[in-house]
Amino acid sequence: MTLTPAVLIAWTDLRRVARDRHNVFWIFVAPLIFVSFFGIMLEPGPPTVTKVSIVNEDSAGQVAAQLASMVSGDRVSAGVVAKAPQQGLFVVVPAGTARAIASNTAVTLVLHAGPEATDAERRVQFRLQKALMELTLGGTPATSGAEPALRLVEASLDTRPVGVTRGFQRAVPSYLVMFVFLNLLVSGARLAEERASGKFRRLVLSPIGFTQIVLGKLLALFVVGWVQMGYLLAVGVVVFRISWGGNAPLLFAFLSLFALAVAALGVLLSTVFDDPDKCANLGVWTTIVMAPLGGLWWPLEIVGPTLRKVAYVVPTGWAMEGVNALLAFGASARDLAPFAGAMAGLFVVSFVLATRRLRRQLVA
Amino acid sequence: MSSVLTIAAHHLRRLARRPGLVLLLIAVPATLAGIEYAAFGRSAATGKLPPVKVLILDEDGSFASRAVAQLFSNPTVDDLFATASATDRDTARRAFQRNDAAALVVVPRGFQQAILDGRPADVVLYKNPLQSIGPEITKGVLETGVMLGNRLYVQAIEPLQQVRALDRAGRQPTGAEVGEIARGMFEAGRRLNSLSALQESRVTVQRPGAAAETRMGAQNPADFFARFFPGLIIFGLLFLSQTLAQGLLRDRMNGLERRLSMTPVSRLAVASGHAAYLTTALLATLAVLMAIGWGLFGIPLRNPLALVAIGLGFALFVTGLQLAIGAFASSDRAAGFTGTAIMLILMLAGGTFVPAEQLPPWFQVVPTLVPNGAAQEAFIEVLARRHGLAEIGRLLAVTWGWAILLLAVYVYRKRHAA
Repeated sequence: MTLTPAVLIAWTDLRRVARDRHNVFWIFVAPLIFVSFFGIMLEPGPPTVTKVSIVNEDSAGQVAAQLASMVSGDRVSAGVVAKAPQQGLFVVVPAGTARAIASNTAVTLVLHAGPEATDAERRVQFRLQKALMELTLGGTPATSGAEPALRLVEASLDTRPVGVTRGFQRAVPSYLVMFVFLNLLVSGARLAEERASGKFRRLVLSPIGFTQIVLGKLLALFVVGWVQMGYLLAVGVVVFRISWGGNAPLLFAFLSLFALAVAALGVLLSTVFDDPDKCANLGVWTTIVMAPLGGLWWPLEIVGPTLRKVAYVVPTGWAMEGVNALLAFGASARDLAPFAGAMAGLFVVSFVLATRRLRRQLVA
Repeated sequence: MSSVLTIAAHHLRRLARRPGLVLLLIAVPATLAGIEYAAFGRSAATGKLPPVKVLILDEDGSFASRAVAQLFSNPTVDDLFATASATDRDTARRAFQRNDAAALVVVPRGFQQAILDGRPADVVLYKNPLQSIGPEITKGVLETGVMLGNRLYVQAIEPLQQVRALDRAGRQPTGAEVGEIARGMFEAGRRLNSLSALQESRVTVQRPGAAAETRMGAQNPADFFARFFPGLIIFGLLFLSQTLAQGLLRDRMNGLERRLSMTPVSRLAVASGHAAYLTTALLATLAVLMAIGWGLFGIPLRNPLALVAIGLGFALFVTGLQLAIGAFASSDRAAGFTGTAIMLILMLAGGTFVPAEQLPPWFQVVPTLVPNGAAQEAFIEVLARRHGLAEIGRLLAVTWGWAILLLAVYVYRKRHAA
């Protein structure tokens, strides 16, 4: 079996793709806009200091002063005031607090906050809670002349500190996976358009094998995915200065397999409806379902255990988990084998089903 | 007027005869809302994240090392954590790679002896690089535990120092020394017993017009979704409007408008008919999406008058936008390209994907100046913050202002086009 007709069909399709500004926008411009926007959003901004007033109503002022000193630091600034301010965070140290602490009686401090909970408010609440514990326990190891008995030490399990949870290091891989997925599924709708207009049927009447035609269409989609992938990999390094881990060939091979599987899925989706618009919207809908389920829009750690498992049964999750394993753990080909196997399975099933359906729709 | 209604009704009937595409487009925001509800519904209701999974590797197996593990199971934090034992670091690393644990806490061999010897005793924390929140919560609890441990250690430091001095001297204690050590330990125990206040002392949060709340972030899940759902509605309507407007554009390219121009109907009437059709279809879709929000996600539809004012303003804006794009475009592909680019920028600037309060401070004013952002904010003000027409006046003015401007551009273009 010669590949030439398939390559020619793919080449013709690719030239049509390149001529359409809409395609160029979705392959090159839209991902850049998304990555820039979400990269900036996910980047930890400059630390903003939250001010909190400690309103002292206790006759002994030392508790309020100690609280202010303990709570201050690391993005929190606390000061003692005599009267509750009109706005902003403030905590009241009620009368009798010092006496209660001295006699080991429980103390309740009330933090007055705005109408909606904020991260800054939670930080202040946690600091106040910790300071209250310290005051209740009294004395410090330093003042008692003793060395701290316990120390908290941080270490690494041979992982790579590339920061896959924030900034561009998270945004670029996530949106690479999402846009390759979206583009290949929506581009698949072009086949539905060719079916609707009769172009596909004319191609079938030519002396080219049916499988060759489908392979050509698949190849065109795969190359589109490859171009977009290569573009975003390069943009990640050159523009956003992110790391792609230490095994570029493995990453590229893994993402190529993903693109191939999704290209086959795109061909399959193009056979679902006769209306090309419906096929395109089915592609959008599938992406919008798969992207969050695969952990592309928000980190999987904030969803429940069930949804976390779902990431292991959707293609976006296979790709994202594999890329993360490569970036953060320097995963080997063997580590990626389960995801790669799933993608290969998706490719085979999609391609076989798509070929059968197209044959039935066009030849029968 | 009747020709305007006839044209609008004609297009609406065509849409009703083939509703598949509209249903598919309605399914997009509805499905996304379902996923968000599944992902965050429980967190919103309880005000807590899913339990943070912490692996514990106790290499010391002592009384003191077991106390470290108990930090994560004490009643004040036990619902925050799910702990599991790790057999070794390799198993923990594999769990990290599967994203199956947030952190590993190792209590090394010799931990208790180090405390008794007066040497620093380390608790080692390994964070999963795939997570950011869970490891930090774990670290916060460990830091507090270390602080508490050190403070408690201070309570018993005198008798411990005496025991160590005897140990170093390598001799048996005298009766007086035994008595003194026993008294020191008794005093330490008494002080520790009186620290029950520690468990009961707390910091509560008081909000304007609400009762003090101890838990962090707890709220009604319907209120939580009232903040997210408007963004999905905006998203769905923008995409639907593009598909509907492209249908009109294809009619134009197929010569339908030219045929209409041969009839005694003015261009203004044709343009108005198209606008009436799009606005009606969008309002109907908005009503369906609102009903889904109310029926499935329990979002209370407060202040119907304000909701209608926002919905109508937004539907008119989207109508004006899509028709104006179509009026200037040479083909449906060109209109699709321009429309997609504009909608994408509007959605990013308007906070459709990221709530306005999560945006950087310097950017937070932008969503209130773009029509879709203003409409989304207005929906949130009414649905989640229980505000009325008076409070959302400025936001309404932004959406309606853009709507009038774009409709004017469209009508002008249609009246003067060749």
